[in-house]
Amino acid sequence: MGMTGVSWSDNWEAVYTNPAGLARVHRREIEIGLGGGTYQLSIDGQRFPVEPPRGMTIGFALPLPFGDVLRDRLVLAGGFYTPANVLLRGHVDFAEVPQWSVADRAQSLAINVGLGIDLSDVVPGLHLGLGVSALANVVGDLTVRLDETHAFQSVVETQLLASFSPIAGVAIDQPNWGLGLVYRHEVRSEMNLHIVVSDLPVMLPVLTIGALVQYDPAQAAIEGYYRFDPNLRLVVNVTWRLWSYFPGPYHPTTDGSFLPPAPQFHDTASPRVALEGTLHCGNADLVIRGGYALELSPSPGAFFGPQRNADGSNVTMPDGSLVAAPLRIIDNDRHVLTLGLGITYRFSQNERLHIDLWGQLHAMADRTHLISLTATAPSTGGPPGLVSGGYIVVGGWMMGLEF
Amino acid sequence: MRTACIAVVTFALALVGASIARAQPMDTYGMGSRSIAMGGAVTADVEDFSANYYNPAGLVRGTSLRIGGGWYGAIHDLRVDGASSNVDPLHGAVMGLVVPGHIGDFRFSFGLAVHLPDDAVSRTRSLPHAQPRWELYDNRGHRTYLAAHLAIRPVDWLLIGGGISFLSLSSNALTIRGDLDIMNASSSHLESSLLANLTSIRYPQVGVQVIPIPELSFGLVYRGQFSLDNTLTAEVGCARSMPGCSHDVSLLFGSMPPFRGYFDLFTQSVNAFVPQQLSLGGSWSITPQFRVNAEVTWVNWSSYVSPIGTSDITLQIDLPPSLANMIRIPSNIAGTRPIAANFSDRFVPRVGAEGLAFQDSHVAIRVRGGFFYEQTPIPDQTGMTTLIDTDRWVWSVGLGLALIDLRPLLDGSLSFDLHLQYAYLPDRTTRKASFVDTTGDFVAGGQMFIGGLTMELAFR
Repeated sequence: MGMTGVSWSDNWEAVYTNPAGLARVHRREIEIGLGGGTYQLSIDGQRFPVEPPRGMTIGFALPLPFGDVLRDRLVLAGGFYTPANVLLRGHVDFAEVPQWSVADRAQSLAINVGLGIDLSDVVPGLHLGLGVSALANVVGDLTVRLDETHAFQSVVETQLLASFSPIAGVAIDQPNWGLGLVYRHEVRSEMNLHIVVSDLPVMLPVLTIGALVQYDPAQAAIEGYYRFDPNLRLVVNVTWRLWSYFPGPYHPTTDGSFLPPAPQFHDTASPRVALEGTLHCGNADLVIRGGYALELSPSPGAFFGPQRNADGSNVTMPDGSLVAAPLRIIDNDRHVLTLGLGITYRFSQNERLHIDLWGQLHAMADRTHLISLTATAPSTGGPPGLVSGGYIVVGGWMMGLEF
Repeated sequence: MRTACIAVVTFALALVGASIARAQPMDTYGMGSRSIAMGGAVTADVEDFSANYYNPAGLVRGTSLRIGGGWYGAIHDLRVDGASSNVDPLHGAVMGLVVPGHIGDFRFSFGLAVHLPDDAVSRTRSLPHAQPRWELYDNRGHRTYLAAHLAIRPVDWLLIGGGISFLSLSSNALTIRGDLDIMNASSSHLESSLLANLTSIRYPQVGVQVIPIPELSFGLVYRGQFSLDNTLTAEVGCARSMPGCSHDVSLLFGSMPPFRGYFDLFTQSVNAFVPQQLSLGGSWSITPQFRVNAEVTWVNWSSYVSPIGTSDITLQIDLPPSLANMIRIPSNIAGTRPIAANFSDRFVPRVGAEGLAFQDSHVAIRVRGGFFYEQTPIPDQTGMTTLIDTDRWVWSVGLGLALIDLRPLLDGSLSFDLHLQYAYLPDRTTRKASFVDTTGDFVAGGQMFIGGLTMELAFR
């Protein structure tokens, strides 16, 4: 459905798309799914290897059967996505090395929990929702000491700390149309491991293994749908992402380390459109879905920018001039085509099994960057800027029970 | 109906191949106030969210939708030669769901449980091999537990549940380049690249409950083995054997020309090993108001992987001759290698009882008690390692208050359960084989105080 859902989600997936949609859930449901994909990304015509995402999803939604003023009022839901082999993967290379920091963000455990509130008796069709997303941060210390016998002893302590980000949304349903609005706060996962080495014949500073390994910007989305008839629905969505707050993935390795240029990301707006049609056949429903999204890149591409000190100020030469350094965060505008197929089988009025298949094609618009792949300093008349492009294909299935 | 059963079983198999769970501090501290108060002897008698840990088959025992949450804390008074070992207290929250359903007559249930320490989601710690540590209590409790299970009830007397697990921490690789000022470390200009993975490990948990008559039930549960591997590699500069390496480090010494240096550090250790376990238990309702439970758990500690890890360090410096008398570079720096732990398997007997003390149309009060004994699996530490442990005798008591008339707001019950637990670790004397052992002979023992409160909403 073109990555929409803010106005129409009516199952556990609403914990992410818009928790207000949880209020539409009237049956208990649990769902499980697997997804995977392949990256075919290229720089200057050469394939650039990026480990493809592969993971599984578990979700549930639970209408809370209170009575009295809370009757049919509250729905609790949760969703978990875990990559198949890693729960959190951070890969931050040296700044001059090309890296797809935006497209390669799927390798992280994600946990979402939400509560939908049905206020239809107050305002017809009104739903509210609140939720949180959780992500892990890693902090730790490694202390290495050399003793008198030239044997070294190490003490390692690492901790996973959870960080939480709120999600809030509102939705209105009317007989033929609906509207949804959602805000998702930024989600970030950081690593900070400190290495302290003492008693070596040379003095090593405290080394910090630090990086912002996962960053999803704050985003707001508004979406509406219209039903041409009960079995055909059109959805239109615009999603803003506040990428301008992205600080870049780099942390200083030591107090005196230089940092690469600031990433200079800018905010983006992504238009999306989708269509959903339903066919009925006895106890089964067949749903066909399709959509399109334009995902504009927040990155200015690869460029030379002012190198920074550990405190974020620019590094200057004795004559006051700035020191230029390359930053090759590669990203392209993406045209996203989506397709889905769902089958729902009703065992009875309240018991259903559904299976959904989905697929996405992310076609990267070719992009010529400001600097070449190998340039180490700004120059005029140098080699042309590097060209990035390619495509991403992802797909998967979901199976759920409603009861 | 056959189609429905196949659908649920297919779903169950998919979930068994996919559910999430994490390391198990519950092995030591239990989960859920009712179960803890009964000494953990609930393999044959559990149906609240703690069934996710004790026996997932119990998820389908009741018909109520249950939502629970609570808090617990544990204080360790563990001592070596009379001095406190400063084992950190542990406290955190537990939460869980039991979501029963049916398609026709076919009953199934979905369960979810979370244990979250207050201070950190997870903590790993590896120490030098000679440093004394309470191996089973120092760090193993500092883990998040997240479990999702599905249970089915194909016939009325047979309950089957299962799920599988988990996560591992972690591997980190760091590469550093730049200028390193060996006279003034803070003037160094170093840059780093990072590759870090929290990799996942899966282990199974399956259980059955058999209820031949309403007054009697039996339970069997298997929990798989897993461990958390912690690897860290830090490479500063390029080794002599790495021609073409692009992350050189130049050492600066005053006004002398820079010279090449290389430092490589590798550590790998296993944390929070959880052995496979098998529990067999029974539960007998002697009267409608009084129930006794008993069980025994086999714990495969003999597979324990040594917490003493591998570590290596390499230091290469192309020292200018003029500095040879000022800076001494050791020709070889010794690392560490794992030392076999040689733990022994153990059987843990548990008993528990629960009685209805009072009930009217609004409220029910239950009292509970339990006991279990854990023999230490750790052999006498006469050699290089000092992994401290003693036997553990554990008594627990509990009180449950259920409000059972909350209509019209709630057609069901709201219950509050309290548990208190005391663990006694009798003194154990360790005599080192070597007279020059840096640790020396010692006596270890202590006690633990554990308590908590759980609240549960049950919708009929």
